[in-house]
Amino acid sequence: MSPQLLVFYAAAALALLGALLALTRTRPQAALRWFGLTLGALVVIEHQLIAPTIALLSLLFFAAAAAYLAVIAGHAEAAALAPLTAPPTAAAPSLAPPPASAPLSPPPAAAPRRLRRTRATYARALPLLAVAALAWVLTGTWARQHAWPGQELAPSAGFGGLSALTSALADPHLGALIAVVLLVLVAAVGGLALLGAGDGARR
Amino acid sequence: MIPVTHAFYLATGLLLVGLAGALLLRPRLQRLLALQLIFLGAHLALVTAARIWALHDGHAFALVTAALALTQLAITAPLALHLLPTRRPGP
Repeated sequence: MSPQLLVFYAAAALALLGALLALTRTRPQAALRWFGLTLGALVVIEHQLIAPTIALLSLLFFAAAAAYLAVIAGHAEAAALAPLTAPPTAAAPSLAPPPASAPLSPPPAAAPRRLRRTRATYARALPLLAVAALAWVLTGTWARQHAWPGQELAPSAGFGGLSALTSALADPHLGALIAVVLLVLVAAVGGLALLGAGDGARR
Repeated sequence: MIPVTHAFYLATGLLLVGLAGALLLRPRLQRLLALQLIFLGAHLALVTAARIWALHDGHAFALVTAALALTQLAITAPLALHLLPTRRPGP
């Protein structure tokens, strides 16, 4: 096994591990840290797929996304609104001791409700597992028929370089490029406006 | 050289993990990260397809996908994390 392949497998394992851990962590900072691991591993894989410009741009995009999420999480924690990891309908936890008249044991309806929720989760998960298995098999079938490293590229082909990317963007995909620039601009302004509106409402 | 098909496996895995998280998880932040994972899977599939056919169009669309993911994040993160003012019922 070549060192390149080892790096690829290690990065792929880290990407999947980071994705799974990011979705299962309850603390926002820990979830963002594991998500950052996934993003970093993907940048390495993109570099291995001879896309250095995309890897660099993705690194910038991913860093911006991670910084934005960290700022948002900090805003939400500072505002002491609903906890980030709590479901939208859950009540905020209280640190105060319960009143003397409050029952110490959960109400008797809690257990059946939890059971119903677990059953509903599994009912949603089973079709999803079927779809996942089908997608995995289809990908595997297709992949076995085309187990090759891609087209041969000469060392001087310049594949994945900035000039080739800009020419591809500027000529056939100019409309998409303009739409993306406008979308990102609108999203940036919209995100800042939403943050400002939230801060103003709390004051 | 790495087999591009393995990169497709990884892209499918990321997409499925994101899909499972978006459908099954209830916390808002985790659901947001799951949606981002779906975008990441599509992004990696496009980069891999560009490598297969040695075309830069895949790179261009991968760039578009990354920008769309960032756009979605910028708008939905404040909404999902309750940073919007809440309208309270009047007296």
